[in-house]
Amino acid sequence: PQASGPGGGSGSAGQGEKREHLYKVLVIGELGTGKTSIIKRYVHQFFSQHYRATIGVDFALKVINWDADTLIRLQLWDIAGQERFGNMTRVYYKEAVGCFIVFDVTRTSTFDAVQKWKNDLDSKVQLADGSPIPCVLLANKCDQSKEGMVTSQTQMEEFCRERGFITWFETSAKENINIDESARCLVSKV
Amino acid sequence: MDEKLATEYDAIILGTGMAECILAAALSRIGNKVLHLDRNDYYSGDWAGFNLQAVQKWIDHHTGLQDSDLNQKEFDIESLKEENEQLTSLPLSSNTVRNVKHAVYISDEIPVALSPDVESTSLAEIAENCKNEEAESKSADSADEGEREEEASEEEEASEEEPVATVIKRNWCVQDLKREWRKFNLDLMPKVLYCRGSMVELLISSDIAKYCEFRSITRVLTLLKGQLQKVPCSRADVFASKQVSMIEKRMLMKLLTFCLDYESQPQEYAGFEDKSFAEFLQSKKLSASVVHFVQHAIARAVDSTSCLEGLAVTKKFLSSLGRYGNTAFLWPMYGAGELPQAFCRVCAVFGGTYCLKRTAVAMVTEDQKVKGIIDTEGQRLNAKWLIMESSYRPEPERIYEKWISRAILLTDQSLVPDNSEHISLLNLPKADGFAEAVSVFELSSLSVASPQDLYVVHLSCRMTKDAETDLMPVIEKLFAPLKTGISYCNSKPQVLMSLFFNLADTNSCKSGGKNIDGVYSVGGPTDDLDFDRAISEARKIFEELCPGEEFLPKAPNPEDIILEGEENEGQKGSGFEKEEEEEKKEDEKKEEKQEEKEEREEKEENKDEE
Repeated sequence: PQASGPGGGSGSAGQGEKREHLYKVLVIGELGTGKTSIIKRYVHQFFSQHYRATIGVDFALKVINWDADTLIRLQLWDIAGQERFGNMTRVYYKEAVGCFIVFDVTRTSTFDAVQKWKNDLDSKVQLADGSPIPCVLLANKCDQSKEGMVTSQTQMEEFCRERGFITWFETSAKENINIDESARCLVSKV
Repeated sequence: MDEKLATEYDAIILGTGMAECILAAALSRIGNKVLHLDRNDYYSGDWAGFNLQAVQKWIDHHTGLQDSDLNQKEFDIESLKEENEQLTSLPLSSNTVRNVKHAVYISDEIPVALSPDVESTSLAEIAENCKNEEAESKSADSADEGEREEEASEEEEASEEEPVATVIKRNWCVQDLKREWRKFNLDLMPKVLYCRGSMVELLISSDIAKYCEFRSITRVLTLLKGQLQKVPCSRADVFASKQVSMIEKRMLMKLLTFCLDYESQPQEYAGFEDKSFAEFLQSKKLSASVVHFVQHAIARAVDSTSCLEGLAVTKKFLSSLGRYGNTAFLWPMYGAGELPQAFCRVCAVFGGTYCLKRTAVAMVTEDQKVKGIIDTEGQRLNAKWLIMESSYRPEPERIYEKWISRAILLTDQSLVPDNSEHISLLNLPKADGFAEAVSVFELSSLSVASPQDLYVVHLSCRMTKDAETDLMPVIEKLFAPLKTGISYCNSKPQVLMSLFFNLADTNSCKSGGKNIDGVYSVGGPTDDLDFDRAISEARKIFEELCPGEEFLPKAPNPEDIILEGEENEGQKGSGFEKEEEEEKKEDEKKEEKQEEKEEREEKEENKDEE
């Protein structure tokens, strides 16, 4: 008998009056796009330009009071030392139910890599019915000057539709722009 | 990806097999800076498991159809070393796989003749053929057909031309298998965990168990008097078994009880310390079946296995029973290749850097002491320690004395079908006319290594000639003849695809070569059932490198160190942990109960004897 393991979909532990869900959500993207900053901002409400990589922690946990009857425990899995080369173990992807792919609006190369990450994600994890897991694209560092396709709202929408993203958000972990909104959007799809 | 790596490390590790990953995790966990490289584009080296697409790539690679995945660059290697340093070149490709042979015995698509509108006539034809073939083969087949026929008629699609109790199997085609490509997990070397083996203990003590999932091995089978049957292992099994007589039950119980506590009763095996386990069993005046069960199915002892070795394995097996239900073994879900990756995740979470498709072209030394490596992208990387899997060692040192013969088969039916899904383990002794003892795993979809209604069968033995020659006698005995086109009526499982290869046991790498300070090598998978050898090897090296340090202490639980923003602070842990704990308690209770029961039974037995 399996316990409703990390993010086991509807991992609800129906004890007490509230329904509790446990979701594993991945945060992936190229080096230096601000993945960890986004997680820190979302979970701990702080931002630091010079943070040190979190050592020894698999994921950050955010508890969300979704509505009167539902409590969501959101595990945000950062990609640790493997990130530089995109060589993720299956252990990392396993049982994830949602994903953020992050790029840096000031560096178009990080946007070019988005497709590579999406492919890797879809090839290594699927929902129980075989469909790809819901994925939101984050255009981070939007407080700085943008380059490339991200300047065009319509092109970005087109891109998301074609590549199977639910939607995209311009975010800034520094200025706390759209961080909560994008998380809420992803969780609602999960 | 042109990313430059940092240049200074405590340890550079080449290869992502089990022992390398355990070491990587253990070193990183206590603060060492680790760089972990692998020449392949996948994790786990020769411990890896592949889905159907990936295995094709692996086959192509090892049959020379596809080049390696290495990202290699041109550079001037001499410019990367100091004047007083020496370079030793290291091999870029593996030399641990040989004699790869892949065959498919089904058609690419379902033949037109079986399209729905002509199905009934086809079935009738098949039935006719079946009768004929059946008549021919009946005398030869002593298998328990009754049971299979029953099953078959259940599975049968409603057809008017219902042939008389004949097995009509699904007509698989390659397209069917390809559609399910993700659902296969074909291990290069399948492994299990003894429930009281050192891997289970390590996963618990380090908390790495949180990354892994397991199923139990549901059956241990053996081939006795020409029939495959379930081995009674636990007391409950022994009592329920119909295969052994009352007298044999008592013999078996007495023997198993002794084995569980053999160390405290040396008088029982006095005089056999230097003899074989087989001789010891013979001396005990047991029936042939009991000897067979214990020697071949439980201890998996060959004739040369020493008495003490046999007793130790039997004890490990018996003490493993009951810990996680009525099984001695756990099967890692998604295959053996998951376990190295779980340890890699720990290494990475503690700051280790991972890079696949990248390895060392040379090792840099000075005065017989390692300084670092030059990697395939032309970077000089320095480290105190260089740890490599044996196939990464310099060419003259990587010669293996021992090889393993492997076959992976996809079949359409279980070897011993019954009403439930199983993960079965079978050991065929050398004595049955096979060149070597052969280990067989049969995996149903329960193992998450095989799609519904299909079975992955792993065979392995020590190599004597080559994989195909070594294993064919076993395949001929257990399965319907290997040929293209399904024979619809054979009651034995049909092989749909086969893959043969030989895998080096790199632990048998000839020692020797120059002894360089700071360089360590570890072996890949052996033909052992479990992972325990890799653990002891890794632990030994760790203790040498980091004397007095703790080996893989638990990592802090992320849920315990979270600064929580929202109200719900009161509730610690995620509910399911509680369940887990309760489960553990339940397990323990069950264990206790079982032990009590065993004690009771033992007492009763003693009374009987008196």
